[in-house]
Amino acid sequence: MLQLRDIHFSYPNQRPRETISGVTLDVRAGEMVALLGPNGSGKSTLLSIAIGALKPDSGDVLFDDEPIAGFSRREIAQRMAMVAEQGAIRFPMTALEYVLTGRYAYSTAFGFDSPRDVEIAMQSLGAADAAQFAHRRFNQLSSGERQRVTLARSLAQQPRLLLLDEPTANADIAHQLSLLDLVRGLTRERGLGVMIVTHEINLAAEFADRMALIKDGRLVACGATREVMTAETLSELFETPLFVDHHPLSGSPVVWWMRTGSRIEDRG
Amino acid sequence: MYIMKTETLIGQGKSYLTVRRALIVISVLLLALLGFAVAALSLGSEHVAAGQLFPALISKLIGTASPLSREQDVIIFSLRLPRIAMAIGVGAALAVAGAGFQALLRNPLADPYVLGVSGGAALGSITAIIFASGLSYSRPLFGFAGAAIATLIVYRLGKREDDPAHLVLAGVVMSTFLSSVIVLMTAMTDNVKLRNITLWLLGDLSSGAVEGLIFVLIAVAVGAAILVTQSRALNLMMIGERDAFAMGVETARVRWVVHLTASLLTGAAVSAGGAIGYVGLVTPHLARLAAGSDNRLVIPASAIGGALMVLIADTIARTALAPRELPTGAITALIGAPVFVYLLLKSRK
Repeated sequence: MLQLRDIHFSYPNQRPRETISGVTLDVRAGEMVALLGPNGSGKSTLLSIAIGALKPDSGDVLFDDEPIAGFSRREIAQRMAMVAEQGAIRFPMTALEYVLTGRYAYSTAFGFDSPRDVEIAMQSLGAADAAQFAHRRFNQLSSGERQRVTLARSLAQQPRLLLLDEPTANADIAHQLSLLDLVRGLTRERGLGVMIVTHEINLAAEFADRMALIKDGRLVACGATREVMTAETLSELFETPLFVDHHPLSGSPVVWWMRTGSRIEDRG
Repeated sequence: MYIMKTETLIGQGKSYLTVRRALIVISVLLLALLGFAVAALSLGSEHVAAGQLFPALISKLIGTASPLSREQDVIIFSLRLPRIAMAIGVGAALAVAGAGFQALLRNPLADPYVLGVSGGAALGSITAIIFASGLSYSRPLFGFAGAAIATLIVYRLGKREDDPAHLVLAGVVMSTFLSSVIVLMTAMTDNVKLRNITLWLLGDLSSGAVEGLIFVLIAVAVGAAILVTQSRALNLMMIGERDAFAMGVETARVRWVVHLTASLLTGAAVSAGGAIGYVGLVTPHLARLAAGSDNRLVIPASAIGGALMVLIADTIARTALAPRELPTGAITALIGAPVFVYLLLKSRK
């Protein structure tokens, strides 16, 4: 579905240092790929390149084997949707109005939302478990509720690929789990491809099919979660000692850390 | 499907903008504008009953003898009617520009006057008067250029996302700077006429020339139409530019179109009627309060609401202390400044 081919990218004011150096990565239909790495490693930049917001210096971004450089903004928006954390909006707006903006890629230049648009928006709210918020003001929702409404808006785009940029930042563990459960369900039911950038290693290990580890703009490892998540690889990635255990119920890898500077003998 | 009461005042039942709600709001506003225009036409030192106005208007159109005296005829058709048309044009232009700037800058405090864009237009107009008075339409064109440059600078200075007050601060700096330049220019040219013009730039519709009136009305029609075509994209830009881009909006194009159109509107309005403040701030805010934030309605509703606001302010300005006249801009500022403070306090919460 989405293919990144040998992507090189550097920000104009940071040249010659490359932010992304030769990353090749695929996301297939029905699959969730987690992108992990330290702060500033280039994860969000890679998402921006995938959706066409940034043009790579070299390399190709392909969607169904076609370069996205040849697509219009609307054509891209009908294929991929981005979900990031949404803060407060400075204008009063209901959640339904917010989700209806997701229909932009299918609209004429102006004109009103068709009954079909409203129907899709309501269905999307339902699919994101947020139908009960439809008529409430977006700004009055909690951050966890906003996330679900934001997910609903991305579903209203009827995309085939979701790009999630730290969608669970600032959410409590229950909201994190329910959001990822929802997204995981969508990959199964609708064959949606998902690429997620997150700092929650353990959640990524539980939900993602594959993991791509990125550091200083380079792909360090990429593969099935259980193969990639080794103590050695992760410790090197984050430059801090980490241990890998297994979740008592699901058997997924679980990362343990150690207090910096702590010594075993301290525990007596 | 859910049907619940919404928090907006008009168009009960739906939490999004329907054609019905848009039509209701627009019709009510148009009727109000028409009513006030007739009232404004009859009010003044020479009172003409509203009942006499329609026969007079019809006889004017078909060229028969007017039921009005010659003095009345001159007052109504040569003085009041152009002035009312000017108030409507200037008000609509400033309000639409304000609605455009607010959505584009994601800032409910944005207004051509507050941002210093009106100051840019004023400086442009004055430059035209001093250096290019021979060129026809030089005043509105220079006004437009001044507004466009001021917008660009303020946008660069105040782009910071997190704090709406930052942009306003940039606008204040811009305004004070431009006012000083205008004062210096008028002082150095030592021209009595120019001093009068400076006063007029504070917002006075009494001396608008026909040339300016035509330019304003054309600018409003074209500008509002352009912004309405961008209103759906602006709905997305209002939430966030990065999101809007990801959702299919050509953000760079929309930014340029809205920026230039709002500058054109401000340039036309200011070069014709002076820097009348706060119209672009108050009107879109009231429109949103009444009918939600969807720009497909906020922009046309602001156009009519802005026309209404300036028409009312100007009628007060010329009748309250008659025969003395107050600057129209002073009246709008009396209404607008408290609203601005309210919005500022709200945005800081």
